Amino acid sequence: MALEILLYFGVVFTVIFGLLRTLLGTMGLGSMLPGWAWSVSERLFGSYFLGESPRVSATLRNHIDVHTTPELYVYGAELVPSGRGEFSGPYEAHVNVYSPDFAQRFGLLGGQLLAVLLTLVVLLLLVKIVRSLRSEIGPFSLINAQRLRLISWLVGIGGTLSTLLVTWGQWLVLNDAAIAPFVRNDIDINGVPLLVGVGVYVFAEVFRRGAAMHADLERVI
Amino acid sequence: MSLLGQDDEAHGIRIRLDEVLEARGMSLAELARRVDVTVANLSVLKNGRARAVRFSTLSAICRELGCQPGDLLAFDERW
Repeated sequence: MALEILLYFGVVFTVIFGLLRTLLGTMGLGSMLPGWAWSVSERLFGSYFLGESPRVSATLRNHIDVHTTPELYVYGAELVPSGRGEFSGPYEAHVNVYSPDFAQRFGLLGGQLLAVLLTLVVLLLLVKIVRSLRSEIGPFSLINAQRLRLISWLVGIGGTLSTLLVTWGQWLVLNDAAIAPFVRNDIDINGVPLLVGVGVYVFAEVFRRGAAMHADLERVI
Repeated sequence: MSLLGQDDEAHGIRIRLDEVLEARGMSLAELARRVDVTVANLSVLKNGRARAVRFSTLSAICRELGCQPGDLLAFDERW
């Protein structure tokens, strides 16, 4: 029961801070909100809820000089005191996108929205699996094995698609003519969703075998 | 229907547990207590909905009812 409640909290949290925030934030429909709605939301949740303008992490090109006050301690400028660290390039920066074009918005917003929707569906499927723990049949049923398999597809394929969309959106931002001269546009695709999806698929197969064995023993006196 | 949604295999074995219980004057609950099987499971056996019976369970039932397996199980020749 506690686990079920925890999952429902996750659903509510995802709806509010994932779905609504993404949709109503500056990257989504936020710019279309009337001024009073924006003010109310800001009073209720703070500017955090509405989200900042989309930010893309980037690595500055090697030839970009970074000057700070005080100056960063850099190798080669002085003798390195023992036991201390040093700053070294290339340096990282955040690129704030105030007015993304359609393709950039589709990539960044679409990828994020897809990830949130997938999270919601997976959480609801987990609620159903956890609920079966209290049923007479128990969790080892074919329907739960099917739910786990669906989760594996959603996480593996859906999650990978989401990261590809976001990566594409980020690439579009960093490839912008005004930004490209300053940043490296390295594509870094996250393989974790696919790996997790494969792991859950294996677990689903084990569960299916367990369900079959359980069914074999059903009504064996 | 089993958990896998498949129909159980048809068979011609008939369970005469209720007849033997009546002859011995013992209730299903009392037998369940003596053989360490739940009333629900024994009821499944009595009503012919069991898929299989363990030898250990059959032995315990025969011991408590003082009968042979043949007294409990019958084959329907019409099957």
